[in-house]
Amino acid sequence: MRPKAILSLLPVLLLVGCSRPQGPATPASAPAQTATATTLTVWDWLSADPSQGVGHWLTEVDEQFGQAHPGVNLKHVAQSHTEYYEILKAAEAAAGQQGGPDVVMIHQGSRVMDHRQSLLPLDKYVPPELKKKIVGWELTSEGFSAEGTPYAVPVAVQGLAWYYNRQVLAQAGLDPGKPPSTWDEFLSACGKVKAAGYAPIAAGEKEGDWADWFVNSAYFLDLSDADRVALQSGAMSWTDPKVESVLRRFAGLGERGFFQEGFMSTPLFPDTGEVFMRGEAAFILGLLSDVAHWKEFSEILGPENVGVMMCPGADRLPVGGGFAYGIASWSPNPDLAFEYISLIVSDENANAFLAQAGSFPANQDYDAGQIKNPTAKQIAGWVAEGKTGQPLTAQVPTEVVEALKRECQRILTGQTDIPAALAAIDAVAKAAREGGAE
Amino acid sequence: MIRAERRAAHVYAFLFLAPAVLLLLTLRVFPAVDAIRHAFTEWSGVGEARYVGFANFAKLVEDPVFWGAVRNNVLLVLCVPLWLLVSLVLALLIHQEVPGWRFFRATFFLPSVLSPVIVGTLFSAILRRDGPVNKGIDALGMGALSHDWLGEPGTALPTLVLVILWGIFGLGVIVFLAGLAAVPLEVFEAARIDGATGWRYLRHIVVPSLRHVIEFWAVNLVVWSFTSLFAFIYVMTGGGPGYSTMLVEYQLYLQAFQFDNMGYACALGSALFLMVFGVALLQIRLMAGGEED
Repeated sequence: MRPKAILSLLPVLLLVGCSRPQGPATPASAPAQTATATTLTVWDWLSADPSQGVGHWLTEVDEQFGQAHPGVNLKHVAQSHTEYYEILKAAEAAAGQQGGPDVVMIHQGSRVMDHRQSLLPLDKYVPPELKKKIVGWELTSEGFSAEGTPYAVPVAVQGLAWYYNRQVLAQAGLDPGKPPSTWDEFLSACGKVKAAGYAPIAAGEKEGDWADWFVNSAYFLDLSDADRVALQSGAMSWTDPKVESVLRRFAGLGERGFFQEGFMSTPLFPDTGEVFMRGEAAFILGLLSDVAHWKEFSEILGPENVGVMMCPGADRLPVGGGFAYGIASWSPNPDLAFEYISLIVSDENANAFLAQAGSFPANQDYDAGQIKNPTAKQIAGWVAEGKTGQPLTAQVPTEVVEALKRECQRILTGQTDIPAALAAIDAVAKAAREGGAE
Repeated sequence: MIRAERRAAHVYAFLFLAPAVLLLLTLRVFPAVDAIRHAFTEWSGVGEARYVGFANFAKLVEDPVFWGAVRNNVLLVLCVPLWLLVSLVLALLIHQEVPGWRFFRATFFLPSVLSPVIVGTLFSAILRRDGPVNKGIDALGMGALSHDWLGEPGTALPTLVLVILWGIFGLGVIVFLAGLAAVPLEVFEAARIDGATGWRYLRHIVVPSLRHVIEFWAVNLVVWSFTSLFAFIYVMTGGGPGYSTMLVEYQLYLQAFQFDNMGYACALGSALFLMVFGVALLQIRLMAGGEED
């Protein structure tokens, strides 16, 4: 009986053995540490590919940090971009007990505000000189004000611009050196491009993000800064005629058939950019940094064939939503964490960021003279001249942005009309405000 | 002596069951009960939850997205007979050893071993406006029939139903083949000798013989259609265009992990649980009722 009894206990023993509390997991490949070694854990979504772009740049920053801090074990974890905030939330729920990060990459804007309870206020860390030379503090500080308590240090300048393919414009009989500068000129140009057999605009509405980009890019034509603030705070309704006008412009592009075929099931990344880079479309709404931007387009089409413009009729580019770095509130080494962040945003690394990743640094003390690409030069000039504005949805709750994206999809597919869509978005915005106010 | 052996048997039974019960309690029952508790709170998933009574359920009743998702879920449940019938007919053909049955038996199961993410990605590419399906339709001179299958509200959900069918029918075939193997061959032979063919053969011989297997698989598919299609939706449509392919489980994910409304997501989860429980119970009752007749 005894062997049988022992056998029958085996599954239970195995289960207990499996569920026994473990110490912090240590990768087999991790270097041996002394008992006093300090580990600094950095989370991001951009370092997965260290061979190029931002990933390569971050690897070099890590090496610099390692050389300056030989006693510190820097653990850089590349998380999935798609599930990044879900993973971060899990770490927040565990308050870093299971090996959570010390340094956290985070998007500027509402993401910082959503996660500020888990981020360390940085007032005492950010020196005035650093604050002065970095742009974007209003998107990482309390109250969306550059004067508020900062929770993250902006690293990249991100935004939206309209790129165009000069060759396609020329094929359509348009002057490639003179892109449309008003909305009517833009519609006329799109009509000519379509008649020439090209798709006027490369777009990808599978996820609905393109609609969000469009609204952020085109709202300058119809709303003032005061309107934006009023809309974000709830003082202005989403059913306001000014907002309606923005969506009418959006719907008009669809009604005229100005997008490439199948755009409703085309993912924004990377497919939309590929449509443009294959020379099948004249215009694309792209990013300023990282991906789907001037560097990628220039590498494929040739820098001489890529042009950039603001949304036709607008006098500004929407800038915001680039990445920033914050310190987890549970980090046992906040000083060391800030040293790492300071290194990332140093002048030297700002220059390297632009050179290697083709991304615009938030640190404005970078050497603008190194920019050779004419498209990038144009963008850098606009940013330096302050021809930028906050994206309309940067401070809008995620569920409202989601409602905007889905209602725009419904408009394009004829499931709803613009007034009904705006009423639906407004209802979600009201519910979000009431929920937030409780 | 007999009593002692019976007691020992009980002890063994308990010990063997204990690991599974423990896992079930820890990973299923406890989280489910905790989710129901949180359905009555406002909670972001981190920090303290605030009790709000039935507010989340009141919101749910007035939520048009939720009712649209329920409608889509009901439409999927209505497709269960199709999913069932395709597997059953194919299993029957293999069982009757039609030419090439060995090849089909092996290949039919292959889609079932693929992750829904792979199936979804594969079909997203195949069904694109410029994908091979539309190119094939165009090549046949039927260009008017080509569509942006997943990008149009009228075709997105039906297309998903067919993709899901492709992803799961193989498993159904295996289940029905196992059921058919348990039926004495004499039953089928007698039916053939008596001249039963086609629909009558299926209706009066096969279905009654496989009644319990069909019940088992139907309940599985119904529960599955409510709770296990997330990966397909996530990869292929994201619930769109608009809300045309939104399901309750996908709305739950959005509320919990995109909007940080964990309390409302728990209310959605509770409603989903009640729906699945109710439908499955009704289904089992109806089937049991049919058996009594």
